[in-house]
Amino acid sequence: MRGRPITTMAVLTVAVALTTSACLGSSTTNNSGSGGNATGGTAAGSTVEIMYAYGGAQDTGFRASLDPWAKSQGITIKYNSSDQFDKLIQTRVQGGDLPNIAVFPQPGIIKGFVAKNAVQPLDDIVDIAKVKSTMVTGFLDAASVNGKVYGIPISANVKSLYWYDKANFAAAGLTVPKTQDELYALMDKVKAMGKTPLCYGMESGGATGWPATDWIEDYVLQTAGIEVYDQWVAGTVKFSDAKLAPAFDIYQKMLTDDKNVFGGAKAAAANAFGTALNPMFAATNPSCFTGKQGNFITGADFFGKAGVTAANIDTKVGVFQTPSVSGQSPVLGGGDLLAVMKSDAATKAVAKYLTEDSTFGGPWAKTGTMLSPHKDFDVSNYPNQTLKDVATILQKATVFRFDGSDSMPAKVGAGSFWTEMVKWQSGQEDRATALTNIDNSWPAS
Amino acid sequence: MSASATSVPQVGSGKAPKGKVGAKASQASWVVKAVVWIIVFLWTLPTIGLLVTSFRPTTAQFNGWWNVITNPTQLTIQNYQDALTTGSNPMGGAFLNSLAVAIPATIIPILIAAFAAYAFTFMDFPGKNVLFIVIVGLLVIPNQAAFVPLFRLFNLFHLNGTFLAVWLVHIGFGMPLAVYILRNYMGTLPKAVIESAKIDGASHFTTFWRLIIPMSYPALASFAIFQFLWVWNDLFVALIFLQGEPVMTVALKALMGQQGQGYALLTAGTFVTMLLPLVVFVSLQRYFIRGMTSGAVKG
Amino acid sequence: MAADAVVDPDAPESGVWKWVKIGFFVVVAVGLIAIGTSTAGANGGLKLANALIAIVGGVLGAMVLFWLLNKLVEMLPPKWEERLKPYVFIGPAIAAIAVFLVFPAVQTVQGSFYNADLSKPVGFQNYVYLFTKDPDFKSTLVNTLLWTLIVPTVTVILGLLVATLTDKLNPVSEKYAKMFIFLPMAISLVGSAGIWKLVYDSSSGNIDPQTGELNRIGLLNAIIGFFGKDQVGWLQTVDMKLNTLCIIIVFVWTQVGYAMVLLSAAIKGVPEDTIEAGRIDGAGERRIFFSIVVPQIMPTVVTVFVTVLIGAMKVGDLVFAFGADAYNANVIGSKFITTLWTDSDLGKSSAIVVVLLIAVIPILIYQVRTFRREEAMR
Repeated sequence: MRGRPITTMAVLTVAVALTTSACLGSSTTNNSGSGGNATGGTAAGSTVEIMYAYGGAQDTGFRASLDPWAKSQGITIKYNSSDQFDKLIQTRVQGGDLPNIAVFPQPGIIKGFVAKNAVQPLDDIVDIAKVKSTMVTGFLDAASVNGKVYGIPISANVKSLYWYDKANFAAAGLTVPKTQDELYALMDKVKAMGKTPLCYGMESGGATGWPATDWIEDYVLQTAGIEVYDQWVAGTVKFSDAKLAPAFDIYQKMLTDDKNVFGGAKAAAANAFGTALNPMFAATNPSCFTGKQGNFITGADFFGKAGVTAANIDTKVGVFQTPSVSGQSPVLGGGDLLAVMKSDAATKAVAKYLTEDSTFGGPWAKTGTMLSPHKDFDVSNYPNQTLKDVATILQKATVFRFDGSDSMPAKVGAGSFWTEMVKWQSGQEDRATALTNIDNSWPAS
Repeated sequence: MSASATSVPQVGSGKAPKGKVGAKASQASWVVKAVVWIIVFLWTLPTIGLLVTSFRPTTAQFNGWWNVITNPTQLTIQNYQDALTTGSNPMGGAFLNSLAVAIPATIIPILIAAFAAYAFTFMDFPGKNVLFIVIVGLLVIPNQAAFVPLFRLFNLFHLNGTFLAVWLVHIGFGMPLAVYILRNYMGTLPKAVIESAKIDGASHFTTFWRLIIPMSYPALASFAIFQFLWVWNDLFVALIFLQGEPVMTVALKALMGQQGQGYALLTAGTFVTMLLPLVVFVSLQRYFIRGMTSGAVKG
Repeated sequence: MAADAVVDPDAPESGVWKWVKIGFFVVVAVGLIAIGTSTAGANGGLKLANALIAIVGGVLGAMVLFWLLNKLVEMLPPKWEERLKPYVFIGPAIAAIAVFLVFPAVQTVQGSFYNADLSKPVGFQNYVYLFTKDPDFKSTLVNTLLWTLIVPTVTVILGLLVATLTDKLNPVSEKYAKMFIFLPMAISLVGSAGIWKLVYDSSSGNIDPQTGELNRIGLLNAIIGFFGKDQVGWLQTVDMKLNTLCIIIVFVWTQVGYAMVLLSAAIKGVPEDTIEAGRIDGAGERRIFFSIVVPQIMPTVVTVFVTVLIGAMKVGDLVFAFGADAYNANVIGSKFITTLWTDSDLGKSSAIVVVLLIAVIPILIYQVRTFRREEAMR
């Protein structure tokens, strides 16, 4: 015994392996409710567990909007909120213990769960035609698989936005560009003044690189069109495909040139996204004049640090939609999609309320942390004109597409797409290498 | 704690303590003092940055935290008020949950590991060496690797969402290190003590409780501190196995929005969550007194 | 004779009573908090009752379990009692380890030969991929090696230095100095990441709303800025592995407190008369430290070294939180986390853990040797 501990350990390990091997095979979820246990019972008195990633004011706003209705129906909501939602939901699915409802920031995860039977088609639960009649055009496509809807947005955001400081823009004699050519002309004008036109930063801790993906997506949508965009997101058009080259050309021309980007192109990779746009708010002599970012950027943690407040936002901050490259004005955005994972009468009632009722979210919208995905949502709920303008851009969109990186497999959309863009921006790799590496990381099957 | 060690309860030893405590202060040269306080300064400086930041409103954080030296008026306790009162998970309830998780998840593994360490040190049995190196080898398994298998296992017994589930996981994850640290400590205790206890007719159980446990206080207290901290600061085990019942770390993270909004509240909340661990550390420090063990060992 | 005093059942501060007292104290403390917060409503009160039952039940349950098991074995004939008792003592620990670590470990080894969702066996493909195709696994291994070389050594040296020097201070200074060194251990990962972001930050977008002046908010960059230097992206600079070294500093910062606690306890356990004997022989402080103190605390130094080494081998979320992925600062632990959580590839993530398990074997061999040597010596 004393002589060969390693051998003994190996024997022990094998023995345990044999006895446990049976467990490994049956790893698929087996209690997903199999869609059918709608017991016909009443919803009142039941508890519905909802998992989501909203935090802070978003979370309180969401609860404030849902709670009064739930109380009136006698339904108890078990709120399960965490910024680690994506990891948590994977564990719950792998472990076979599903919440009733989950609200996904990434449609890609929902699509992955469809194959595992972990999410249920909403066509049987919700009146899809009714939802479609008020929903922003194209939003329902985000989490549809084989003609069935698995996720319906309950909150939205807009990414096709450029921001500027009204006073500084006017002082420099700049006007809002309507087309990409006008934007280039604006940039040349700023450069002629000896300044850099664009503010840009892509540092975000463990998520560094994501701001670049919003740029690429917006311009793929503009230059390649909606069909190619969908194929690209689905993985059938590669990153290195010639059809996407115009979008990457625009990124390269605008953002990898030291003359265009404040602080230099390479340093942008290490510049925190949250404050990257703030130099344009300098009282005198701003270092850069405009930058592209989603609508959340007006918050206290971002523009707030440059002196933007609820009181002065409408006089200080200007916003325009991404200038058109080819005459079209598609809108890129994101949102949080409701999916039903374990159904019963109460769950169905909650799902119907959150998706069909286009007035849902009034108290939430007033906090300024949410945009409704419904076209007929009353914009007067939003606390300032800037947000009303953004909401109008969303509601009037003829073509809307969901943030592509959120729809791709996480390995690409939250992995290589981020890291390879950083490596390209920071000069560790050239463009061709970065794009090839992203293509190679796309999961097989 | 007084400067004189005579007030410290001596375990088992009737003799006066042998510490040189009284003479200590004069012995520490200024070099020693300077080196210690320089290290302390370097070690604390980053934390001071966060502490100062936690007293600044978000809108004032456009320059480095050291600017408060020239402009101290911008300090406010608003972040602390907001961290404690806003958010969907009240910190008060989360505090209780954290206690309910951390206290059993600290004491139980120490108890279990102490028994095991005693057996590994003072008893002979077949398989002793193999078991011990298996334990050391398992130290290297990342906890995340165990989440899904355990989650599935607990699901069979409907344990998910209970405190019991969280304790069990923490007991399991803390066990190898506890056994390892305690065994290595007990290994330094002279076997002669055990032999003499045996001759006096004491059973293993009695020897363990009356002799080895008191002699192991420093190691027990050390591990208690570590285990308490790991459990207290753990996020994932609580998130996965306590399902929605918030502990402090969960409530803390819930203060932030999806793009990192509300960071100022997080800085304040971080210091709130640090208070109890520091109290635990300071109160357990009384077990690190010279003479504590040496008095008992020399029979 | 001191040993006799300890086994004396009438000893005032015997082990069991101490623990019972501690338990009692804890219960009372929690009870007080209960009264203090029970106005929070029925929900709060219920929660509190649950928490109390949980604490008391959990701790007492474990104690009773051991007491019962011991009583049961004592009822057996002496020969069997002697034979079975070690297993009663180690039983619960082994059971816990078997369920919480061996079971997942075995599943992990097995999973490493399966595909991403463990539905199909793939042989050695995961390993082949990691070692031949994965674009950054090699740099991951190099970084891990760097971590294992630097972290335990620096941590043990600093921990020993702090433990030795604070021992020479007066008790009040000692207490506070130790508390400050220990402080980083009490901070959660989120907190540490925030703290070091304020040190390493290199963003260029912080403007003063009044003057429009650009500020540096990272401490290091502000310091080098004072000497007129441009900002450095500390966590973004791949050259000379600067970013890896910067993250290592953060980890060492958290671990020195751990080393200090254990080493300090060991130093306090060095019998005073051995040191006195050295003094009488005319040895200087340095000589006493290296030839009297160090040999006696060597087992603890090894314990600390091995545990910090293993901690450095499996470190993951800290590296991940600093966005190391894009700058080749990955270590095995962070690679495991991205593979498991981001890529959802259970097969490859398992293979990475197996690589860790193999890498730990030299430590195991060393440990077996010391274990045997100790057994032989005592």
